[in-house]
Amino acid sequence: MARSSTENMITLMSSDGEEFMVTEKVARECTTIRNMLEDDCVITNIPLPNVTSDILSMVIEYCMEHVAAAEKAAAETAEKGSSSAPAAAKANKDLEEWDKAFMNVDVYTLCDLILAANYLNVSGLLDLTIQTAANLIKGKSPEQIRKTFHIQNDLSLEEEEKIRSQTPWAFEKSE
Amino acid sequence: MILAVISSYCSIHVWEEGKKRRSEKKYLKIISKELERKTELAHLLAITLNIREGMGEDWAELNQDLLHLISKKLGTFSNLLRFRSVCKQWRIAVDPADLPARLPCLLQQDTTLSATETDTKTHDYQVFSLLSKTTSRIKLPISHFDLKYYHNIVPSMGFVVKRSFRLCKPLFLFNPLTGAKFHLPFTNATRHPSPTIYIGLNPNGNPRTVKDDVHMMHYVLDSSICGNEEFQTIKIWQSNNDDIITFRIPLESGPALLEYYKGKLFLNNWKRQETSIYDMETEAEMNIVIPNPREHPMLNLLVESLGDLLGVAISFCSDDTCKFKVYRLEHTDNFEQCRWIELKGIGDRVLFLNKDEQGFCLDTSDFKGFRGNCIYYFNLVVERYEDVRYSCHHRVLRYNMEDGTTEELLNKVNNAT
Repeated sequence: MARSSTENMITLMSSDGEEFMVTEKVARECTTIRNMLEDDCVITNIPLPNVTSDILSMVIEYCMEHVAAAEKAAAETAEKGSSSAPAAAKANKDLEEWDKAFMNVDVYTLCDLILAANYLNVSGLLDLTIQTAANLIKGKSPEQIRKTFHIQNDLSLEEEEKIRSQTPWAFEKSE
Repeated sequence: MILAVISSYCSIHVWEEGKKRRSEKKYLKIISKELERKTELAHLLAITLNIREGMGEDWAELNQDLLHLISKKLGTFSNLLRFRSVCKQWRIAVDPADLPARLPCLLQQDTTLSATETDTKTHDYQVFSLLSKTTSRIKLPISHFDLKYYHNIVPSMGFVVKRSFRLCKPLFLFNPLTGAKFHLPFTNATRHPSPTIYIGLNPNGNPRTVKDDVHMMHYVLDSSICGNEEFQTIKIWQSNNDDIITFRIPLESGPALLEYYKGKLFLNNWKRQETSIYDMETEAEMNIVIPNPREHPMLNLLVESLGDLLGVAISFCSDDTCKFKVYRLEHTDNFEQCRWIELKGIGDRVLFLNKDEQGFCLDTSDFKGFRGNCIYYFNLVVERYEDVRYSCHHRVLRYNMEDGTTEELLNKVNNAT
């Protein structure tokens, strides 16, 4: 099916003025954009003042990968009449591996990705980034968390002491 | 035009450096220095830089909703508490009243220490996290006699009720994990039998604070006789507006099954095998009676569960495990037509039941780590040792709705951990 040539292309413009041409299908992965398209179907140029080009390119990369994976699965189902469970499981695993590799970013990029996924409403990416952030926090002491995320401790000594005395067992050791 | 120049700088740089945003920023700062002579340009550049900083690179400034989402994925109590200790912004993203309801745990007195220390001010407890299956020790300034249950399971809100054995002493709620204390507008009215207190969540709101959403129910077991029937009084305190609503319900010999659901109070009468409904607004009984399911005429629990009212029937097996049947109340908006429908499974939900008393329900999509379509329940085991002394602990069991099997998650709390 050579439909891709006739498929609608949408131009997304990042906050720093860079333009990205994507297929409508990929753009629709972002619920925010999907809603815009449904409200106004002739729109082809969408400015995204809250997303920089480097982050937008990553979001698009994510959406393209997930659209391609879904299309591949659908094509296989159509070919064989029914999807074979092992193949589907493998495809899922491949996508998980891809997600994992995709999340190999520094904490600043991760933070921007969370904000972009939230703003563009890409639920899969938001889930992935939030889970990645949670994994970075798990098992760490407050001081280690601050170091990882470059956060200044703005709690006063009294406040810290209060937290510690209320729940001493939470600070004894990391799990 | 000037802005266009700057953004093309950015674009080119982004192109070259890919995702290395830090160095890009440094680079922009160098450009900024070079251009400082031209104040106009520098000003515009500053605006561009500000926009970039405003993109929230700073984790401390991440918005509350997103921080809340992250906190929900942390799993254990201790992770969450350490999360709260990072900085102010992170601290307010998680409400302490939120913790235990979201992360169920089992609280029981540490019986490994001898009872001779009863005169000290603090008492040892063990907290078993159902999620991480780990045990922590905790010292509380309340003795287990003060807790509502002697062997206490904390099903909702994380608050336990501290009471006094002396008459007319005020009761208060106590959250062992945060140290929060909350006085109740009730006093200990009777010495024996002791009043039962029920803490329910307002299903219309997310339980953020005790002040907003808790409903307290207080049975006063002093009965009154009206005509031929004996009654008991239930007082319900709504913490959001400090209202106390009083209902009179028929006196029963067993514990009354009560649940708050969609602004109504549901009371299951086990003798008559039916459920009656009381309206919280009009403070009167509605003229509606729901018979128990025909094939299982005895319901052991009513549980409000994510917008549904569930009735749970328990069969007790010889090996001390249980089998469960779960019914959902199907009803019209005004409750005029109601009936119990048996559920084959409860989907992504997981029920936590303190047998015979109360339960609550969670959605596994919010709590990765719990298995959906399961019922977690607890059995108290009392063992005698050294002939005269007793120790008790809880078994934690999980019933799988799909195949009807029970799995043991915890028998004896491991004291080494």
